[in-house]
Amino acid sequence: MVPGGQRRLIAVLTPLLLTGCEDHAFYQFKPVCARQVNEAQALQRSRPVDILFVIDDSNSMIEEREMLASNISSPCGIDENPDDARCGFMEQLIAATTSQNLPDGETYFHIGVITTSLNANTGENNPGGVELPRFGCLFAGGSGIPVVDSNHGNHAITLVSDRIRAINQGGGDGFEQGLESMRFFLRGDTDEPACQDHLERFLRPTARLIVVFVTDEDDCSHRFDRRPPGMDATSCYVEQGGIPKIPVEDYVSFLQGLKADPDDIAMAVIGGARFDPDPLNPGPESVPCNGTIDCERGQICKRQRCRGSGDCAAGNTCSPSENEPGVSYCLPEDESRPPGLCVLGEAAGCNLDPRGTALPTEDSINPVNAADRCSVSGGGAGCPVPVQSCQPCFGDRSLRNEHPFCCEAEAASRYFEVTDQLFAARDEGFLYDSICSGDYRGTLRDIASLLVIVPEIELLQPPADPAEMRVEVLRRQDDGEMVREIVPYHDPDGGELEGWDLTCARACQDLCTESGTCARRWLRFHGDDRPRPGDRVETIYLTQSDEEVCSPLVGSSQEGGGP
Amino acid sequence: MRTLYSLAAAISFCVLLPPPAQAAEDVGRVHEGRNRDRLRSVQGRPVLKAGRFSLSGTYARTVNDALVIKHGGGLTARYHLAEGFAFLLNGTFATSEQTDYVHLVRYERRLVLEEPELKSHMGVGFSYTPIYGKFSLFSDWILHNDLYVEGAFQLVDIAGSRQPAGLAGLGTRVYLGQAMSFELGLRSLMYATEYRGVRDIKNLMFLNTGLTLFMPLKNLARRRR
Repeated sequence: MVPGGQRRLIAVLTPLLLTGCEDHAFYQFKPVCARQVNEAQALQRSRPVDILFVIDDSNSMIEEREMLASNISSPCGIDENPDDARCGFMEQLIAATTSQNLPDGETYFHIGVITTSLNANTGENNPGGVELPRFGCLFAGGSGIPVVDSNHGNHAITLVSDRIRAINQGGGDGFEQGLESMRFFLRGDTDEPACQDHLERFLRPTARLIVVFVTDEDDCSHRFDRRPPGMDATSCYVEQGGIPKIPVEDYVSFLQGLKADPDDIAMAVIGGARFDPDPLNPGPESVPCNGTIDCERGQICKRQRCRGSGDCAAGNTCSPSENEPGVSYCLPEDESRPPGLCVLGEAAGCNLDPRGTALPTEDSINPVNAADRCSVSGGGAGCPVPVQSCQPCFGDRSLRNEHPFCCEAEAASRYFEVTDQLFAARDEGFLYDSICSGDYRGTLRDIASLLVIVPEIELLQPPADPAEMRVEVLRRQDDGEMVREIVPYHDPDGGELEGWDLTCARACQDLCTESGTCARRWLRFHGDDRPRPGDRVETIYLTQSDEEVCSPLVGSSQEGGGP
Repeated sequence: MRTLYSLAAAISFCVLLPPPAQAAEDVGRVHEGRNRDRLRSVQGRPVLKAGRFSLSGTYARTVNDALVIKHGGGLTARYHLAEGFAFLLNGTFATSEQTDYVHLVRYERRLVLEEPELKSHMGVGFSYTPIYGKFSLFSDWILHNDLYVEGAFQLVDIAGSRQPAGLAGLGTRVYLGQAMSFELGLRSLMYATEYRGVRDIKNLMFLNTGLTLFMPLKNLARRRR
């Protein structure tokens, strides 16, 4: 028998006797968790730019031209803050004149304005002797300065906006020939004595060229000598039997031959909206296409033309159009459903623009709102007058801005075709906007961003922690030597005027900073730390860890012990 | 590590060894001259703990973990109800330090050790002192010692989360006078953990060394029977 005292002693000592070396649970990580990324990006050397506005001078464009003239400039504090998002097109270009590192004496931008009219120079409606646009000539608006350039400084804003406002003082031509007008001028075909030097003064072989079309009609470029007699401008937009137009391929090949480097050509179209619904989020009026006339199977159509009801999706029937003889559309069998919306710019259209642009969609209109609705034959609940387009868009043009997606613009299809072909293999170099937009400032700013090299760099991956990021700028000196400089982090809340920070997207506005959920991968510089064209930016950072990739694998623990 | 174990074993061996038999036989026979180097005989307990408080300050270090070394300091307060029994209140703060082995497997095997580690433990318990002894140091000093065991209920702080634990200890005190003793012992701290679905029972063994101060500083007067 073991005495009681010894039993207690043994009980107390037992844990000590059982003590072995301590175990630990190890976890195995997948090989890649936070990856260090070393990036080096060179800001391309800046180039001078030639900007040619081709503006529809028809009567239907009076409000749009006035808005364009107003929107081309947006006063801002660009002198204090080059990143001021309020800065307009002209302000950005003027500011860029000094920031683009151009060789001494080089003029940064040339701006010229032409119109779409062939016969606006007849002077018949111009008893006051105001300068009228002439085919093949730059329009100076009475200023006597056909080419506005960066040497005009802030006066360039007035020069450009005034000439846009001065268009159509005498009445434009109903045959809008934007593409031919562009080619006629850029080819130097004019025989006008007064503007023989316009092309030479405007177009520079070393400069990039951007052509900006602003129109509410489709292009009607045609051979004057082949216009059938008796046809008026409405014959431009008749699919069969109308005016035979010059193939868009001719303009594409012309533009391709104009510059040796395809990147030296850019194009922007502010025109009739192209139907661009979101296939992932179709509206109640969107029709799944069965793949017949206008679209391929699987696309989403607004109003799909059809030959028979078999072409239409369930719930829709093929009904003849009351306004277009021989044309039928898939319409809802349930007549209480809104059959269409106000926009009739393109009678039928599919999701032809898979690249996705900023064009407004017809689905943006609220179908529940009666004022936004009308039927094909005219006169929905919101259309008291039985006309083809709905009342808010028709007649009183001042209402257009209240219904920005509801205007009478003909789709600028031929312009779109030119850009589609010219930029077929590229994702940049072109811009679209709707002429029905209530404001062109955003698009004009985007145009400027195509031209102005801004010191923002897109990183390959969103950095995990900006505080751990290292940013260096190799600054090009006058003698070509590169001097390395470490750029500090810019605390936007700390009132710092220099350094760098990360933002959601290029030229990010308040929208994405408010959400805070976007991937901040645009490296933006401020103040004197902004690199200039020709400089090189080097970054070292860790990528954000992917939880699925990086978390320890539960169950794969391994015991590791001591001796 | 082996050095530590060897040291602990040697100390324990020395402490637990009974005084040499020869010394017992020589009681009362120490004379100057021939027997000068023989051990002097000391009778009785020079330090009486009953009714006194003691406060120990100790340095603690784990001795059974080759991967994570924990070391720190602590205090133990005891009230000695009797010569052999005391209540105790203790607390220890520890820091953790991963050894090179952990870094080695991290880079070579992509295995990472990220368990939350012990930050501190504290609790209440008892101490029982069943064995007393004495030994001669360099033949000149007779040092008294005892051996105690202790058990305590503990709360451990593991990266901010507290949970119960048990503590068992074995140690020895070498008295340096009526007021002070040197203390050396092993404490085993056991608690359950669960991390990322892996359950485990931790048993950390600490080597404690320190000094104990007895209060009052002198023995209380013996009660006469």
